[in-house]
Amino acid sequence: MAIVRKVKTVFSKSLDDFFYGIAELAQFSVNVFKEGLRPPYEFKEVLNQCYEIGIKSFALVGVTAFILGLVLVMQSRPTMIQFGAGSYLPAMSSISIVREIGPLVTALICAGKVGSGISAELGSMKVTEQIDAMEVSGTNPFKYLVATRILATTLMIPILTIYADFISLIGAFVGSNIKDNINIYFYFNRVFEALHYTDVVPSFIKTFFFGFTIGLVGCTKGYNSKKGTEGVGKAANISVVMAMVGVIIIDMVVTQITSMLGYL
Amino acid sequence: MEKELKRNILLGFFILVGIILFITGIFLIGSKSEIFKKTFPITAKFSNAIGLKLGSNVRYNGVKVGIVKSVDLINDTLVQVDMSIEEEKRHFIHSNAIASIASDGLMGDKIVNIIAGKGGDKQVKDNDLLVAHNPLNTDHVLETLSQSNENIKVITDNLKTLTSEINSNNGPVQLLYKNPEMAKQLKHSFSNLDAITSKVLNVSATLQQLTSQIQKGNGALNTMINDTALANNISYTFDKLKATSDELIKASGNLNQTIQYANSGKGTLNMLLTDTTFAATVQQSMANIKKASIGLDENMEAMKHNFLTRGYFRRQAKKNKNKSKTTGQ
Repeated sequence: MAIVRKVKTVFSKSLDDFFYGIAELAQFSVNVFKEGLRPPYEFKEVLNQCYEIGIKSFALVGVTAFILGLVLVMQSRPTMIQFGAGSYLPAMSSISIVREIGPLVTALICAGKVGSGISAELGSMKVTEQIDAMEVSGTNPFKYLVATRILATTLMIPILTIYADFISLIGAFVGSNIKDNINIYFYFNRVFEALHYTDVVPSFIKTFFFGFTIGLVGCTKGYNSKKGTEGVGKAANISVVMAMVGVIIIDMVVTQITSMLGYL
Repeated sequence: MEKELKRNILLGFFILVGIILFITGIFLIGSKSEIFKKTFPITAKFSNAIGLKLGSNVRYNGVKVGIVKSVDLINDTLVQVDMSIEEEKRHFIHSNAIASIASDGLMGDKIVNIIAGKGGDKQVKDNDLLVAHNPLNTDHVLETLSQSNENIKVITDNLKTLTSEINSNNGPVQLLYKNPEMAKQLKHSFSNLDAITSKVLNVSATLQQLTSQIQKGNGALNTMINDTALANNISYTFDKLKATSDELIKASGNLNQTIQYANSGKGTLNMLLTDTTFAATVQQSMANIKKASIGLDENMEAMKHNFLTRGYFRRQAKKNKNKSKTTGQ
């Protein structure tokens, strides 16, 4: 499956590794669609991975989102008050959370927790030759291990983002009520008054890409890990870093596209 | 198996709640953006639609009734703003309503504010063009503010000069502030002023009493004020007095002329007044005239008794008697 280097170095070792990594990811994503879309489908494993990725990350994502919403309001409030725009705190916090903070924080947390977990799990299976054993036993390890995990991350990150957005808005409400006295009806009225579909839809769509990237990077690095237990740790580490960078790059691209379409 | 079932139920609940939250959010945003409500279009044309954009709120007398659907430049001077208004609010809006662009709060987004026009009119129809009241030109406001600032600067400069003069050592206020003697004098002056004021007040009260008495009473002053005949008489008298005064002035002028002539050293009068010898001569002449007059009287008496002239005197007496009789009749 992996691309094999036919020449020793093209540019330099690090640059060659970088381009090799990109090619590996591209090859892997092509195989995911090829194998994943072909029956039989592993629904059971998909549900299992959804549980592992979604429900087991919920607490961490929820707490982080709540704190971020609260801190956002508390940090912004003095400046907003200084400019006489204290009443715009709900609008400001809602747009910030829905457009950027919710999706990005969820993706980064999942990149750390889920991406490293997938990478370590698949890496361990690789170095202990469990994947080879699956192939020998007639089970398609790519379909069973990789496609299910990538599908699960692609589906669960958007769901986690929805939760993160709402929890973060509640955190922002709590933050607003620490210094001010705003009732919840007024607060959420202002929140939804400030939001438009152009805020929600692009940010929701990009979470699918975030999930796919996290799953893809984690699976790729884990599935292709080498050099025993040391390689497993390295693969987990690289997968976290690459997933985070990938998420931020996608975020930038989506923001640019949204801006070009005139929705910002 | 049971564990797996529990996990799947939990997962299903998790996903379902997530989807419900998402749909609720979408619905709430949609309800604020008038997406699920029946609407009708209206239009207004502005010369300047600064800050207005797709989705901006449309308010009728301050209540949200719709949103802006599009903002398009239709020629070099006009911007067409299409609005989507809630159907249920149609009966409030009349075709003579006036649309204007306003701010939602001091720092808020721009909105279209519709206000009712004067007098009743028919209900607004689809695609009606509302009368547009063009927004206040911010540049003009800033220009006015700039002018006001310049005025304020001049005023503050004057104030600065004034306060520096007040603070200067030789300034009157500083003198008053630092010199206790002057303050005492000023205090004394004020107490004097107070006393004078109280006296003036007393005088005023007395005058008021007097005038009321004059108005009520039957004295000469009241008659003078109220009697028009007397006023005419007084006026006549004053006229006469004026004429007399004029005559007197004339006489005084003549007298003055005479005196000047006399003082000039010419004429008999001056001689009479200044030359003592002449005066003595005149006095002597007067005594002689008196003496001569006495002698003449004696001669005349003698002539009355003389037989030659006695007849003439008798005739003269008789003629005088007759003349007095005719005059008496």
